[in-house]
Amino acid sequence: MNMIDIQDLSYYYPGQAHPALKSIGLQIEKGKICGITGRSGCGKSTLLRAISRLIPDFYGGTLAGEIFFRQRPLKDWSNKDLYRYMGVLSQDAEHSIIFNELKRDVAFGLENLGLSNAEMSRRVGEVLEYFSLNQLSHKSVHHLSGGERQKTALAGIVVMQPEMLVLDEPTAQLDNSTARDFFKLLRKLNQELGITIVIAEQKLGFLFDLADKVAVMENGEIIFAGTPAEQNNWALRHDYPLTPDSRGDHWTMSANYGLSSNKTGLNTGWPVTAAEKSWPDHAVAVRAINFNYGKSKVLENINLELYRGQITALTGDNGAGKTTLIKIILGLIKAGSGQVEVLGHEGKQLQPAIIGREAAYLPQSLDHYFMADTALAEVRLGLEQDGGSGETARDWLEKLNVIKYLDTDPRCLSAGEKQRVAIASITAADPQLILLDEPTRGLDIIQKRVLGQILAGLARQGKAVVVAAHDGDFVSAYADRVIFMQQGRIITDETRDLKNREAL
Amino acid sequence: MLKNYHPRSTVCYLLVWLVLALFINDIKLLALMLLFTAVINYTEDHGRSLAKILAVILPMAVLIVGLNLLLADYGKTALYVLALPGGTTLTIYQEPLFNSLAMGIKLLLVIAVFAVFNLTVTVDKLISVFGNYSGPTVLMAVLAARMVPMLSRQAGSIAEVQSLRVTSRETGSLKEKIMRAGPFLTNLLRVSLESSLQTAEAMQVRAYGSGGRTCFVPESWQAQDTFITAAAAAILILFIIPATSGISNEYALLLMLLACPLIGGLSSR
Repeated sequence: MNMIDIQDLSYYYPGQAHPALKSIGLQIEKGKICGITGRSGCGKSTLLRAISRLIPDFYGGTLAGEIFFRQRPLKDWSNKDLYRYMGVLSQDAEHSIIFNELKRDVAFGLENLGLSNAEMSRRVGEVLEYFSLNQLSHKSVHHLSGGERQKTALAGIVVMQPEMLVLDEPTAQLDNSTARDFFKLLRKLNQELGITIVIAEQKLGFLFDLADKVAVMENGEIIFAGTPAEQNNWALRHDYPLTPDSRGDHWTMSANYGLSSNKTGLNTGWPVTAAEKSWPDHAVAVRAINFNYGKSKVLENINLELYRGQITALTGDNGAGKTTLIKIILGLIKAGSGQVEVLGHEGKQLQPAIIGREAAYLPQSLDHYFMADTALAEVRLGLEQDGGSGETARDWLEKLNVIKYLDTDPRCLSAGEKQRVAIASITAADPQLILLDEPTRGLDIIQKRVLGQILAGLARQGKAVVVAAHDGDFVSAYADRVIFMQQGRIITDETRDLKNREAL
Repeated sequence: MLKNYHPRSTVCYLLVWLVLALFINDIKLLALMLLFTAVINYTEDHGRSLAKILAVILPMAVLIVGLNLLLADYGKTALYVLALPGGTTLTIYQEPLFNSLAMGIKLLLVIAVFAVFNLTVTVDKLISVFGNYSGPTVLMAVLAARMVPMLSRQAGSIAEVQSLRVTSRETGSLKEKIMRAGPFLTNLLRVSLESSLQTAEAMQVRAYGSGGRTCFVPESWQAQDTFITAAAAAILILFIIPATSGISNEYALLLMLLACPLIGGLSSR
């Protein structure tokens, strides 16, 4: 029996002339796991919204074609019945969680279904036990780790006993080890409870291990659907880049992200041949710094130097202290003890207003970065900061291959395009130190490669580039130096051969 | 104290408090109300959240009082005559001084009442009690209540980035500094509205608004809630009937109103 049957589905967002979905046909059998893949902006989220009827109910627009859920037209379902049988989870757990107290949040869906208090208590107890969240049941969700929050959000929909889960990049904000645990949990839900799962995901290695079927999307269309092995063969035949390698009974991304050639189309104008680099001087020196948040230690005895001409990756799981270290370097927060020297500034000079003249910072959420209404104005802000250089804002947008968006609000662009406008803006200011916090979040493999090339180009210009990332594949492909942090301490610090990077 | 009450009675009590703050002009009465509201704030979180808000609002209140005093050209009782450069004088009258102080205290009082509301009626309580009414207004109220703490977190993050990007923030005229706040506020509003939209979406897919909602942790209505709500309603009625709102009555009634949460808070322990 088909749990989902999509027939000739097309969709236009309100006011858009081009369809976001074009003649989609897809069947998902009951009890199976279907993965949706494709480049960022290809229509994966839109398809999931259509399956969960958020399109057109919530987003409006024009929908043609038909979706059947449990062999009944989706549009005929009442809200209460639909979401009783279908659980929907987005990538950002913060927005999926409604209540502050974990236990109350898990019960939220049950309250909306109108269940009795006894029934709610029984189900909540069972689900907390199943998800090993018992110890945290009375905790505020604001005190949970990223993985715990995502697990709470999942528990909040599983408690409604759905027959199908619709998950939109649920591990986008999780580190690899937490993401692996989350995928194991999905496998358990599928095998033990028989729940059908439809999941859009960029972590292809994990997805291919989990899925029974994979649908590949491009420009709003499904261009392939089959088993992971069939997708892999198809990708090799068609030179399609987004596919993992088969390693025994597991799938994994190769070091070059599955790209055998440079297909990014990026023209940065920077030299592409490797220059022999040494690290003559440091941009940042951190000596014996400690930082506590309340009673918990966030950073403990951190000593390091960050060099010009290098891409340094700060890695480690969520909560390892990477973001805190970056903020201390930028003077946004003060270390509890120890010394920090940034581009020759230390002590009282270590203030954002002074550091910001020579350093640039991209936060995890790029929407917090943008200040202007158009991409052009955004880059002009960077040029003003530099006091005016020979290059115009248009030149920078051209270099980063986003010139066609010069009049577009940068917040309305895709994740990869936002990233490039933001980088155009910071490079226009010609900073000597560039710090990026989780820059690969929301990017597909090709966009990550574009980002890697840009950062390598900036490092070649002699800038110190620091990337906080838990994306192990990206780090292994582009970082010259990898600093692994755990619970606020540096565990390992290794410098790699630059030529390895250039060989990619 | 007010945390021990049912959210509905707390909302009623604070609404009356707000109405009184807006309609009363007697400076002594307003000052007394402010004092008691500060006490309630202190009992809830040792005044920490009120202190944070006052750091921003107090200078604004002082500015309002100062401007009002300088620009007012009415009054009969002259208190001071200040000699200004150029041979002119500025007379400070008692009436505009008292009016200005009343306006300043009124502003602080309204803010303090909101601080009490934020501390006592949490988002969890708000959804539990008012979530049964599935209308757009209730949904907006719930989203607005969630938006406040989210707004605070996002404001911090945006301000951090901008402190690095706009390194000339500390320089320039007041007008230039105010102009620079524009992108900050615009960005904050955009990000917050986007977050609210995502929250509304998450509520919809968990069947919110489908009707027939039950409550996992019901808030029970107790005798103290009936008492405080009845007292608040009675005092409101007495205040809006001019014939019974003599000064002496106001003080007696106000003390009674202030005593409600104290009695209720003690009786529930």
